[in-house]
Amino acid sequence: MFKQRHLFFAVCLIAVLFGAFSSLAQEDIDLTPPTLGDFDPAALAGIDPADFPILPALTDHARVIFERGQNREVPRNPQMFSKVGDSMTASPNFLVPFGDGDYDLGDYADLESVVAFFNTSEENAFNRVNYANALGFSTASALDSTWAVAEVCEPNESPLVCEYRLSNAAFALIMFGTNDVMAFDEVLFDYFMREVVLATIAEDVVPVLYTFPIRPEAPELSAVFNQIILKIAGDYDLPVINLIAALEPLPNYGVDLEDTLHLTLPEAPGSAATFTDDSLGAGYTVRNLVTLQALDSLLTELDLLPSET
Amino acid sequence: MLKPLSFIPLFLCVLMSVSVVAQETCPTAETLIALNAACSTSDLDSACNSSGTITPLDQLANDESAQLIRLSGASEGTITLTLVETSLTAYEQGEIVGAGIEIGNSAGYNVNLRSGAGSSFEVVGIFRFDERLITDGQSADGAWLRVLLDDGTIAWVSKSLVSNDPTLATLPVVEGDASGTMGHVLTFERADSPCAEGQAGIFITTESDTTQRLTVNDLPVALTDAALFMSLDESGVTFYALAGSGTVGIGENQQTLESGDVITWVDEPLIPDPLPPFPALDIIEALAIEPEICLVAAMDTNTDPGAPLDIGMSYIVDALRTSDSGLSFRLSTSAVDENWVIADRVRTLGACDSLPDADAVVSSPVFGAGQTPEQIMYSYLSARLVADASQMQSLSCATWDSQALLQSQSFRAMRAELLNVACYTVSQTGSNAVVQCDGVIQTEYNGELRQWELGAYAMTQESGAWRVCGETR
Repeated sequence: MFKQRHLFFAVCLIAVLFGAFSSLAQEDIDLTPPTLGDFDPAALAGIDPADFPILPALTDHARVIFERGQNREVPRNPQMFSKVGDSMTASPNFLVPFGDGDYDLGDYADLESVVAFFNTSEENAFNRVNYANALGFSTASALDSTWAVAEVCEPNESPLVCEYRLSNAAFALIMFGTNDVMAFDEVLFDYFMREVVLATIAEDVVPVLYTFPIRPEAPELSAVFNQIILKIAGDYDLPVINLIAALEPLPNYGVDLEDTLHLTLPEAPGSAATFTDDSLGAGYTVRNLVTLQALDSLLTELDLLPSET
Repeated sequence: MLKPLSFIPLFLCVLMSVSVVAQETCPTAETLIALNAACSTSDLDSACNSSGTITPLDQLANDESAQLIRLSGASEGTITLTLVETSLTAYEQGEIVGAGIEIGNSAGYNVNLRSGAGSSFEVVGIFRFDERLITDGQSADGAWLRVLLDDGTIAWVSKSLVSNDPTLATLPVVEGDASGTMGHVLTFERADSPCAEGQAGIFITTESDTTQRLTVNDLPVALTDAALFMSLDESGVTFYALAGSGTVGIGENQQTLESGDVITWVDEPLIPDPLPPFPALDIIEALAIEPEICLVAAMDTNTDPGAPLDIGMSYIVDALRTSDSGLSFRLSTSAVDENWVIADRVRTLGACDSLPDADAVVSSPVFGAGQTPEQIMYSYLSARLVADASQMQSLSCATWDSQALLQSQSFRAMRAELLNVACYTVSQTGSNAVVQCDGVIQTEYNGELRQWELGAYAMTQESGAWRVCGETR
């Protein structure tokens, strides 16, 4: 009886402390919806992707969002993530092979634990159908109910919110830019990207952002959009996978010049999830590797995976 | 008492004075009728004066007499230029381009435009993923298409990267290394002329449905079955569209010209306010131009038409009114002030029988007022295809405003069109209605077609007009 009471108080104390911590963490973060036209190009000064690490650390705000997701009436599923983005994210070469058991971690065998963590059943986070990625998808598409799959989404429900409702994911891997850079200017991209991030936070899903591969037809604007992504990640204190830095050693930043909407694939068919030196010369393989490494890092910091000691 | 012979010097003086006065008046309608008669069979790509003298264009140097120039156009059409107190100072024969077929970029990304039919040629431009261009010819192997750019240059694009259109195979084979400037390139200068502002210049007419292109004083002009007056004044160049349609300028500064449009070009185009008067009616008649607008002119100096009209000029009217004092025309001269002329005190030319009744025009204080829910919904969908955010937001209820902005942008990475769309109101209760739209939005992205089925939309009335307010089921 005594022990039970102690345990109860301990849990309460932890909860109170955690609540206070959460409040503190969120105090400095302005989650007010953006206003179109707020974008200030001067705010991007000094933001250089080369200064950012490839793999993110778990930020305070991300931890708060995660914990809030766990406190929902139906807690968010930590073993589930949503893949949000354009055709590079919708591609069967992005993470799907890990869900199908069709992969080779090579020298990165330590990532087996993160693969296993999400590989909960035949249909899992890696290979399940997502409703917030598609060919031609942009930041605006993710928020526009026209793009929602009518068979499973509610009227006026955005693809993003529909996806989070159906997946109940705790994390969202969000990469936009490739289509946006050909359709929007900085003002619109900043506005829509913030809306995507805020909609994700509002659903208690942890946004994990990516910088995106330079679009060869618009290299200057691509660079600006990547600065915007890093700025948004900073403003909302969110983890960002600096993919453009990881792709930097690859020819054309790992972009297929025959099809500039997509990353390159390894020469050997079906080996985008094979972490050999040859395959890691391809854009998709690099994205798969850094994504697993980022997830591994985040899960470890959340104590969902044992740390390497 | 003067002797009879002493009148001779006086007579000569008077005659010379009259002659000087005659020289100092702007060319009359009779002058232009004579010019047309003398030059009725003049050669193409040459100039002809009122004596019927033909001069090759490259030999014409600052001849200030009235000239008629016939230029060879696309698809065996011709372009006729009648010069009024204006000199041709430079001429260059550019590439004559055909009627053309509109093509889209199906690659889904920007592709290169090259100076010739092959990837080894120099890149001279970009074919944006959301752009459309006109092609008028293909290379001998059919793999490359010749395209015409807004800035008047000719370039080539790989056929594999453009929208598939079976009619492309019908394009004529043209030289695979042809590039340069389309159409004739002419430079004019206003002569030292007594003509009033807006009266010296060039009448340009084309008579075929094929778009004819030329560059005049560095401005690309494209005309389709059109008549245009281009005045050269110290203030710049002013275009007066009398009939047909066309464009002038390049890129962001390109302006469409429809009948009645007036555009002044100094460094960039602007629409003058008040609208300047058009050339004299008898001049327009003398050139056998049939304006598609209604023009009026004062009959003579003794007539008070009800508003001040400069003699020797004409004015557009845009409406009529019948009152106790009879029929009046409203002058389309200013965006602010209304000026009316009494119909039986002015001469008219052009489409004056189809003017709207000014008193019948009902102003709409609210955008879209009086339109049905399905009309508003269809307008919303149409605006979506062209990413017209402000139009979509104007057609949306307050709570749908931000969604309208989103929807205006979410298809921008692709090409979209409405297919078989029909909208109809399925229910209406008070200020709420449901509109069902059948059909699809078809998008093309990276060569792939996708169809988005339309559905049912909630409509609501705000300030007396129907507004789109979301989806429903």
